[in-house]
Amino acid sequence: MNTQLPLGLKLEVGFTFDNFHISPENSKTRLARDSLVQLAAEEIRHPQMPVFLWGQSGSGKTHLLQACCQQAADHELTLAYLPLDQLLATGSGVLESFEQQTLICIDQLDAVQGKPEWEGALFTLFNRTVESGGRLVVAGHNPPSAMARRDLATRLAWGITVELLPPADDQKAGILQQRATTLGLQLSDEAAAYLLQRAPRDMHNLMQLLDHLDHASLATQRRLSVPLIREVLAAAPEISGG
Amino acid sequence: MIRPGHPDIQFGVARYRTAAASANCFHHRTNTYIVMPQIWDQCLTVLQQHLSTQQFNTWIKPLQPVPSESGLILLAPNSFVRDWINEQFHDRILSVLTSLEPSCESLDIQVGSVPENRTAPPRAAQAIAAATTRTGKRNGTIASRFIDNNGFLNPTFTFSNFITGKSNQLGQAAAIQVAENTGGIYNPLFIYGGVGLGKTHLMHACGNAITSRKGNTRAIYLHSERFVSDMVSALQRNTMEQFKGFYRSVDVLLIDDIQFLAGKERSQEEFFHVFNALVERKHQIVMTCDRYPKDITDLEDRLKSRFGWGLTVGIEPPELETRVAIVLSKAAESRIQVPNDVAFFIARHIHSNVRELEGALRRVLANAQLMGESITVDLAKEALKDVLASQRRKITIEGIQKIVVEYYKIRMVDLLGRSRKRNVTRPRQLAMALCKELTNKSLPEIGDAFGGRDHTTVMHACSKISDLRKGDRHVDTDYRLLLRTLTS
Repeated sequence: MNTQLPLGLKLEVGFTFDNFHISPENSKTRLARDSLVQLAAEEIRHPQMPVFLWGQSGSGKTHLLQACCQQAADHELTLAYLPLDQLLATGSGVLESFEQQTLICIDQLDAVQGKPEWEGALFTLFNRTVESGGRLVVAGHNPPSAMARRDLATRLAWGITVELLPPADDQKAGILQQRATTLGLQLSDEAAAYLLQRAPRDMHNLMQLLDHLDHASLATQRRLSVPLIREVLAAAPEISGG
Repeated sequence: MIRPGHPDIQFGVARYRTAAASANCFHHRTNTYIVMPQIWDQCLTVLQQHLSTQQFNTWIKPLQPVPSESGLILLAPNSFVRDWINEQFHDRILSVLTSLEPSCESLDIQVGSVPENRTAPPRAAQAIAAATTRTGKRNGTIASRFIDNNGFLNPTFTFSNFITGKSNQLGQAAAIQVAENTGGIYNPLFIYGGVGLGKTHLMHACGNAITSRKGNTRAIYLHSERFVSDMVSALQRNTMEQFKGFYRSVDVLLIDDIQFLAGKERSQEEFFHVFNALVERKHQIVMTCDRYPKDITDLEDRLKSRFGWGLTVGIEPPELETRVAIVLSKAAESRIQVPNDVAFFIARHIHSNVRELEGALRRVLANAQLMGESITVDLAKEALKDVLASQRRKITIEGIQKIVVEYYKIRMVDLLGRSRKRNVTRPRQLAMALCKELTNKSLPEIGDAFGGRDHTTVMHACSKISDLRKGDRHVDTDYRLLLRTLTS
């Protein structure tokens, strides 16, 4: 029995296409978003298969995947969001349960890279999804060629492959503020700047830290101020990279 | 309707209102007998309101209701879903059901499916359905899966959009022959070649040509691991007779990547009988494989020899001109005109297989569309920057040596050393020839990297391998496999 699964299958609040930040000069990220918007549409004739996103942590892969799921759900498509790192313990057989979904979003591909059993299960999932006209999105740190199986690697590179780059430092404050608004918080310019100077600067950690601050703010009934951030960072040095 | 993302309902059981409470508004106070599927529909309406769309669509929607003596049985598509429903949703579903119909006292979740009852399946699908009735062995799951999906033939793969060149024209000619003369002397047709070269395309094209000519032909396409998994579930469900009945009764069997049967003895045994039954009745079999039949390890000899009974054709990676033609034709399919120099640029840099070539083209087209720019070599360069960079990174002399050593299971010290034993010299010569083919290094540099050898040794190695490839199939196969490994 897999009690870990709800974690794996949940979508974060408020990861949508609308609030996904794209800087004007970053055309690749726009390409990734537009491809996913198409894939999450109610009806498409020939899905570009698959959409493959790769890039380092904090480049927005999970946000895009979940936004794609949200939109597909709005269109009442059947879908599955599968972060492989969280599904590792369940065994690769879990993938079989989802092959009938219209949209399958696979996140954290690197968790299974080089594991023959998982690569085999992904190969099968890919073939069956193509057979049944399903839609597939895959995201990981490395390009498709990093897979040990050549037949899987070429299949993953068949559709649109996009390398995502993390936002530049000067964009991060804006992204954090936007995210804070989604969570119902207000993050002042001053507080955002403080955060960026003291915490690890990759978006993934920053977002986690923001969630942490959200809880702290709720628990203490205080607004998200510099003193609160200072206290939280001091109380939990592991999340501030200290 | 409540959407995911709604903070009150989306995450965690604690935030749900109880199903019983919410079901009150749907409570029935009538004594009229309610048909179970109808109750289930009402139950779905209630559940839909209280689960996230994602949960509802993923877990609840696929369930199929069947009445039982004291309530309802829900059929789940597999044991994983069954266990999950039991654990997470059983009590909630039951309480909704009971509130809707107090006489509904039990809820059982089982693995299974209700036979589909579609109104107008496509022609080929009807033929498959007919196959199952004709044999008198109804095979609900396997047959209905093929019925629902038109035999899994992909209509977009046809002969007319298969681009041929020297590397694959024999394969296409054979497939066309088979389509025109099903079950004739080319039975089975065995197509082998590397990853992403169009074997599957040819196979579907063949199937499509056959069914469009003879609409009542029962043609099915499947990947060989599907054969294996169908057999495993038939064994589990004790429905082997149905499994055999179905596969042995189709008119045309198109089975992909047959090498996956390697090492699976029971599946090989079953496939052996399917093979015999079909060939005996002159029903066509088309197979693809990543290698020559005799080179499949862990495959029974009787199968290897049977695979060679009909016609065996190889498909090679396409040469430059064919790759250019593929790019141009794929672009034309999307109604986009790609200038010749761009087609050449893409084709020159993506040389290992067609699948990646198509992926590269898609990327260039998408980039052009997105940025509203015209399709130029510069744009293609930018769009494929990371692919090109990773290619340049990948192929080095050291990389080639490493792959060769792994392939032949010899030691690196021997490859670079002085040994003149045949089992070392041949791999060494092959590695040198590959270095000349795949890198821009000079011959002295290559010689140097192989334990300080002279450049004339490298020249000798290259011409030796070139000669051997013409006469010795093993050397040729090794060379092609290594080339493929290094470039794909």
